[in-house]
Amino acid sequence: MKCWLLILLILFSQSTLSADFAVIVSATSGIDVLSSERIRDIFLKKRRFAQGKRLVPVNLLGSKPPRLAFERRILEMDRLNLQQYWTASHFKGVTPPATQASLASVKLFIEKVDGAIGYLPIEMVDDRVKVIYEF
Amino acid sequence: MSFRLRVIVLMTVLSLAPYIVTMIVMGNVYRDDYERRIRDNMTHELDITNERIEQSFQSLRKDMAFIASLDTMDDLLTGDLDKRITNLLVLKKNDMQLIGWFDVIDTDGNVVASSNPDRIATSADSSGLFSVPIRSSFDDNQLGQLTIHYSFENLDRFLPESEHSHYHLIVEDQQVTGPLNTDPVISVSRVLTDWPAVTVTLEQERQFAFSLLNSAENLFVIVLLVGIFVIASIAFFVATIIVKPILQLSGTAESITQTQDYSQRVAINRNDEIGQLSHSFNLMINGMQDMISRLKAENENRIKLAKEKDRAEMLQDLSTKLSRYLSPQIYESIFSGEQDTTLGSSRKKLTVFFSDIVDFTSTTDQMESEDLTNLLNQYLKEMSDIALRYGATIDKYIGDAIMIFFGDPKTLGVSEDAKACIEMALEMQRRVRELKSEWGAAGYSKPFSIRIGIHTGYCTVGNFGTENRLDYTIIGSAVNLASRIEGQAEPGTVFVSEDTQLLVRDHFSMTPTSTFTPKGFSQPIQLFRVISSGVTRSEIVIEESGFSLKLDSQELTEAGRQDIKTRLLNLIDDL
Repeated sequence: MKCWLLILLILFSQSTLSADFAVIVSATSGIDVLSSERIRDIFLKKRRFAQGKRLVPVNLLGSKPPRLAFERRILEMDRLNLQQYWTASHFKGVTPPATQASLASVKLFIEKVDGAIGYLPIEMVDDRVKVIYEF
Repeated sequence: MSFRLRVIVLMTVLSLAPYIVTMIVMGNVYRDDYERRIRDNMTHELDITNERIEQSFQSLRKDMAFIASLDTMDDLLTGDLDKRITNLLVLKKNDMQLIGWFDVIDTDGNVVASSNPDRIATSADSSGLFSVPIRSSFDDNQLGQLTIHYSFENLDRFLPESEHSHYHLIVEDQQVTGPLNTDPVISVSRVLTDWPAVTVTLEQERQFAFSLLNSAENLFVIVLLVGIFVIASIAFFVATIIVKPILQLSGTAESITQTQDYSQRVAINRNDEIGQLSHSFNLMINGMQDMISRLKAENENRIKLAKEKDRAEMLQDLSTKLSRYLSPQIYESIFSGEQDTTLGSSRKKLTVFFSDIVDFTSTTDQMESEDLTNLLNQYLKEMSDIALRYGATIDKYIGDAIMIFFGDPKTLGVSEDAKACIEMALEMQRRVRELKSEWGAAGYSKPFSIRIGIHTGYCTVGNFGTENRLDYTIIGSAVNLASRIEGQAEPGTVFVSEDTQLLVRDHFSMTPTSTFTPKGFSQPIQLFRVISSGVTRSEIVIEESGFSLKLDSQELTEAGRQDIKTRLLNLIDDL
């Protein structure tokens, strides 16, 4: 319990201090900015289009910090809730977003796939991708 | 082949023929049916195997489709940067124990991920067994394809091997798996539906496949051999029973043949065909025995007849030889049984004939011995022929003299005998005259002349001598008188006694010549010279020393008659 409280404290302190991660799209994408709500809807597959374009969300596989941060800050759901959500959605024919095993592959996926949207640590952002939200 | 052997063979063949035929028919028919069943079973087994292979292919397709549908395949978009696809393919390959590899190929035909690391980043080829499309998990666009390179060696796990049956995979007409069997086999084949280039062949060694049938056939053969032995033994026993009386019959026949004892018979103690045959055999032997007895008797008769014939021929030959030493009349009388060959005689009135060659002794001194022998033999032969022709009995030849008599053993009567004797004498004189001409022509300078004396009187005729040596002849004074008359006769004439003349005077022309009293006779004997035969003379013959005349007026023509008269008148004048 003490461990979890320590982790939450660290994370909270970081979020309040500065953005560590960025939601990105390909550099050629026509989307420049999306709200966190819209991003959440897209990653929970409640919404597939934004600004007239079909978006393809891509998650980082596993429980790596970017994903944990994304789920806590953007999706605002812990892993248990998220699993319950996708279990329920599965019966509606909605499957979780695609995953990539590494940050590099997430970045490459976003570059290769038209409409792909993902998240990376802010320091991995370069001109091949476009940041539409930071968290 | 003996009857017994025939019976044995026949019974054995007839008894076992249905079994053998059944065995052959069943062997052939059942062998075909058996092979068809084996093929059906093998086909069934092969179908099951193929089905397992096909099912494995279907399962593989499903697995590949499942793999292709995983979100992980989205990594194809990132060039499998995290090697998730590669790891997945390696896991799958290992899980399947696949001999081969999986390739994930992007839409550009490049191998992005593979269970074979050497394949990554190479261009894909078409050697894969089959492929499934890979679609993205988010927009269903095809990202590439998952291809499996499947070695046919993977199929070995579906091909159960046994000691006597083997599977072979034939890929494009070349056998690639399984041991090569050089023994005769039964094989069935199927082409894999999902892999048309591969033909699965199941082979089973024919020897093993038919082992059961072969065992059954061996059993049949053993049973057949045992059956042959048993049936042949029974047939031998039966044949022995059947043949025994036949052998008995044959033995009796052989014994009869060897011993020639036709009294032997076969014992008949049965009423069947063999009994009938034995009865017939006995009847035949009876007939043969009778026939042989008759033949034996006939043969003895024939031998006896042959001996008698030989003896008769010998006697005939002997008698023929003896006949030359006897007068034919004597010979015929003796051999006809009319004349007895014992000592004895009888008195008969005979006409006795004597002839002699005039001056024979002086003539023989002047002639060579060979010429004399030839002339004498010819003379005696000619005279004998004439005598026999007139039925005379030639008593003997005494040098150049001939003694003949008429009246025994055959007689025509005293007068006829005397007449025949005189005719014979005249014939002899005629023949001697002819012979003289012939001999003269042949160069003999001293031809013969003969004189003949004939007398008729009682003589004693019969066999004279001893029991060992007989001589059939006549004796008596008449014989002496005839000889004396011959001595009184002139050369070339025939003198007869008065006794003879009185008997034949009606048949011959005769002239009295002289009388003489022979020694031992008291009265003179009147002699007559025979002129010719016949009382009315048509022929005149005059024979004198230095003169010879023969005249037959009946044969003369009128002109000839006048000519003869003229010549005789001239002759008289000359005389």
